[in-house]
Amino acid sequence: MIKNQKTVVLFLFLPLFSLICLAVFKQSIRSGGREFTFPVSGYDPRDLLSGHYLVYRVDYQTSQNQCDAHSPAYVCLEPTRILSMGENPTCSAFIKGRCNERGSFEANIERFYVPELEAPQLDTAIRQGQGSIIVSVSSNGQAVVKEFLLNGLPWKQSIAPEASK
Amino acid sequence: MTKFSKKTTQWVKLGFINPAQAKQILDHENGQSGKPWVVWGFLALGILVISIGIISLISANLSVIIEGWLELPSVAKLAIDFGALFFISYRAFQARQKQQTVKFEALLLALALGALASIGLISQIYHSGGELFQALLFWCLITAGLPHLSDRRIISSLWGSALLGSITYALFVLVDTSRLEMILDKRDSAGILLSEPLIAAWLTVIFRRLVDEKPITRVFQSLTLLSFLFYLLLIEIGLIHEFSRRAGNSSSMNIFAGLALALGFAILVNRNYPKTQRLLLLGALGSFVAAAFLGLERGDHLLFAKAGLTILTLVFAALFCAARNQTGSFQILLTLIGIRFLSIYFQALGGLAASGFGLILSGIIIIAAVMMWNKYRRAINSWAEGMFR
Repeated sequence: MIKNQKTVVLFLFLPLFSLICLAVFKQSIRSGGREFTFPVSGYDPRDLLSGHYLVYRVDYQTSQNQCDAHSPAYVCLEPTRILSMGENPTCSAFIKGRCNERGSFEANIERFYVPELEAPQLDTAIRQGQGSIIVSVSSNGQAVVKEFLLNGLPWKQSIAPEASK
Repeated sequence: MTKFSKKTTQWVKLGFINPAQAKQILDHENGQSGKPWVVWGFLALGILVISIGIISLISANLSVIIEGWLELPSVAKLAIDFGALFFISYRAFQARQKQQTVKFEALLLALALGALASIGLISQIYHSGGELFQALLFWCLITAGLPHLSDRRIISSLWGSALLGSITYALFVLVDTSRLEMILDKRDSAGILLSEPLIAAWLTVIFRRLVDEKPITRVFQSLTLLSFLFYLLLIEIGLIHEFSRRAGNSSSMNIFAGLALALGFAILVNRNYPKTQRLLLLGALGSFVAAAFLGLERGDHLLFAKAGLTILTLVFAALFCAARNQTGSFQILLTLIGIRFLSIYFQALGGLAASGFGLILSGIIIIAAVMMWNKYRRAINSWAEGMFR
């Protein structure tokens, strides 16, 4: 049994402190980054821990879409859109990520959480190729999804008329 | 309490204790009105159920609590979540100061599960991608102190299982099976599955060095034994073969072999165990590795070789447990050895066993084995303990 009071306080409050740091980090990227919009296409699985979400492929609109599996990579967003491998991008705006086992670039923005009731409508819309995401990108290449768009409108606005029919 | 009054009356009659001592025993037992383990058990169950409920609510992503009445923005959700975690942490601290053991343990469990739910909530609000193992590893990291504050095994078991599971899952990502559906699709995953007991053994070695014989070390020790037995069973029933489509050139089996070699070396140089105990561990490891590689092959001609290696692994493990004075594990392993020998008999004499004569003979063997075991188990235990001390 641990006797030191400081250690007890540290162990008891470390989870809360770490979670606050994580939320602040994510929020700083969301509110301080530059916004870019990308079209998406994909499907909708379930996950017990993180809830009902849409999983999609992001179209970065680069000329080359394939990279070596399991290697670090980045997508240059400005001045030209290009997918490159390695860890030291020289472009002015970029997203850092990795290549998955299928050789596709992933940057942990391939998921959008939605309320359970609205998920099927969104799923249908993405299958019809109408979805896109607004991503906030920090200066060091970290990215957070800000909004999911359907036909150019935020998804809540877009499916509201559908729900009222 | 009736049981105790009967016993004390009997002991007084037999002259073991005098009436005054009998009264003292009864008074003491009557004083133990609230059995803490019962209270703790129900509290833990309640907290687990509530936590699963909260995680399910987060899973459903209920941004609208009551439709058209109250819509919670992300910031409010986070504020409520962090407020609740602060309340739990603070109350846990107070409970510890006041030495309210059951309350403290219950709040620790609530804190551990609340932190897991919070990771889910943050992932949801910021739409984080990534694998489940990354979330679990992060949870293990931020709650690493909680098992050291707890005297109960449940928090250590949760934490240890999450760490073992997430490291194993991370290994799947290293190989080409990075999604759960691919593991279930039986791609090259045999070596990673078989690595699980080795990873558990590694964690036992590491935690014994870091924190000595704390409950968390014992949890990893139990997980090692349980996973060894589980995968021995998978090997025996031929299921492990199903997870290795490309057994001839399996990168996952290379990882398994590498982990086993490194573990063997760690055992060899570990001076915490006497030489004989290290040899027993190496014997168990070696026969498990041999059983694992043999498990990838198919064919009736390997039936007895597989059974032999299983029994050899169990014998080494049982002798090691006896030498460490772990009587419970030793007796379980010895029972399993007996069961495996009995099933060899059925495998060898399948036709005869199906007949009435075979069944009568089997029944006699079972009764004789049980009687022998009952008569000599203490002698066997003492012999094994003494032999490998």
